[in-house]
Amino acid sequence: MTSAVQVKNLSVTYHGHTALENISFDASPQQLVGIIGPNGAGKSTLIKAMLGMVRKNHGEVTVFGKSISKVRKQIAYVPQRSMIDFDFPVLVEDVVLMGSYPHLKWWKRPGKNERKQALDSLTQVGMIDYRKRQIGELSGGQQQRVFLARALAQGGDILFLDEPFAGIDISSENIIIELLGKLRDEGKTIFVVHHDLSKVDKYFDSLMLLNKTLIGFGEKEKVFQPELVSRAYNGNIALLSDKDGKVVVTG
Amino acid sequence: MEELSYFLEAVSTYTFLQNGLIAGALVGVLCGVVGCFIILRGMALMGEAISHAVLPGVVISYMLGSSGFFIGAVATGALAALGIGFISQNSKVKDDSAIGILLTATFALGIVMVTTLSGTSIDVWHILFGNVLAVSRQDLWVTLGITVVVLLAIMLFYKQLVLSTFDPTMAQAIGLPTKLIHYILMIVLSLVTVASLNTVGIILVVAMLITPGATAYLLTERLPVMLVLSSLFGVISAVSGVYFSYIYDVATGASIVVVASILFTLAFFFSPKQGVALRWYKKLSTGRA
Repeated sequence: MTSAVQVKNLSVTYHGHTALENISFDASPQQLVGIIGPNGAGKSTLIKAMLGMVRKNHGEVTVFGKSISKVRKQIAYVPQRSMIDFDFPVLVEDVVLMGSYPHLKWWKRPGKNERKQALDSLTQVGMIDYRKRQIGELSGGQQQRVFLARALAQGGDILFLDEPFAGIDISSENIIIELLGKLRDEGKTIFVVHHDLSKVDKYFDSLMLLNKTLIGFGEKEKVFQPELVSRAYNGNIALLSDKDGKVVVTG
Repeated sequence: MEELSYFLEAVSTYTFLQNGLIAGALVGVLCGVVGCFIILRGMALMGEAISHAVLPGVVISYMLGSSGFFIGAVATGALAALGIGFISQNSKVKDDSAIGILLTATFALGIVMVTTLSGTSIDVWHILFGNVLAVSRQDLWVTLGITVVVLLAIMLFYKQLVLSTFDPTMAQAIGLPTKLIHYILMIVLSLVTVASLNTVGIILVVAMLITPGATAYLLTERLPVMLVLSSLFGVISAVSGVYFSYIYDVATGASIVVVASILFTLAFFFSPKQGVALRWYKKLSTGRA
């Protein structure tokens, strides 16, 4: 099978200290990949390096066999909520409309088709009733759904989500994970940065365990092993067992 | 009423007053629009620094007797912007300190240069505080040219400007040159300062950039509306500033800024959604209920 994203020997150094070291993996298409690791493990940096947003020391990233600069439009990125100024004078529907920007010529403004696409995407995430609200008036979970709608409107084959579940309500979390599953079934490849270990095995198809180096990558059953998880979290976890098998708790 | 008709009569008689009003209105629109982006990008202090850094450039151009004084101004403005970035990236000195250092350094250098030229035709007071009633035809053309070029550029690159302001990470992810956009904005800031030299002067131009935009920011939740309101407040401030300065014979630039600040104060207390006074009132009435 051809791979969706292929990374070879990727290393990133920030101000003289190593953020990522020699990462190589090969992700096949149409799956939900969780990128897991402790704070400072380089999860966000990995995404940014893959997208060419931070300078990599060496390494190679290809998406569907092409270099990243040729397929940028096909990659949708959902930023960490903490990166956004929610006082910005922008309505929900205008945020979603930004998803059309990569596809428009540099001088062109979004037109009728783009607007329709934006409203469709808002309907998909269940936020259509909020389209005229200022983005800061929504709850964290609703904001996250709006940014997911923007990614849908962009219509890429590959999605990167940076900590989409951080600080949001459980119903939004459920809506988002259900939608991500649907998108995966439609053929998209989705990478989700995630730091909470509790629902990892329910949410994802594949897992990537990261702590500056790649500790494990592959099907979740193979990667979500106490030894590997413990290595990623430098032993700072408590492992508990219950009748279903194992439960991992960070500490 | 009597004063108003006296003012209108003067406007119809004197070209200098007409020039002053046109220049003021242009600067009101230009600063109003650019200022919105400066506010939303959290660059108010940067605007202050660039406007001060323009001084040495203006003085050099005067010394060389070149009429294209905006070239020198843009050069020193851009150099200061690069210098600020260079200091904060190559040492542990933070951005705001780097801005403070370069703001005062360039401004002091400019003042030293002006004072070595004392006795010549350069009037420091006019450069620093503007003299809208001494706007020549040529000054007017410079201001008009800068206004048209900058507004046109903003219209053409509106999409890119908005995305890189609201969500720089996505902007980078789709391949927008976010650093280049930042530095182009610095150059725009130098140009805006040059355009505003006669109207409000170097010291107060930052008020024209920030105050009308901040007033509009309190009144709307849509950027296009904010841009329109901000330019409107800029024009109102400029025109009524010229009016007060003519009628009461006070400094023009300063009266323009005073009007702009009064508008901000009104919005701060009485804006329908954000107004502090209305929030106090609501708190009091619910507290009693």
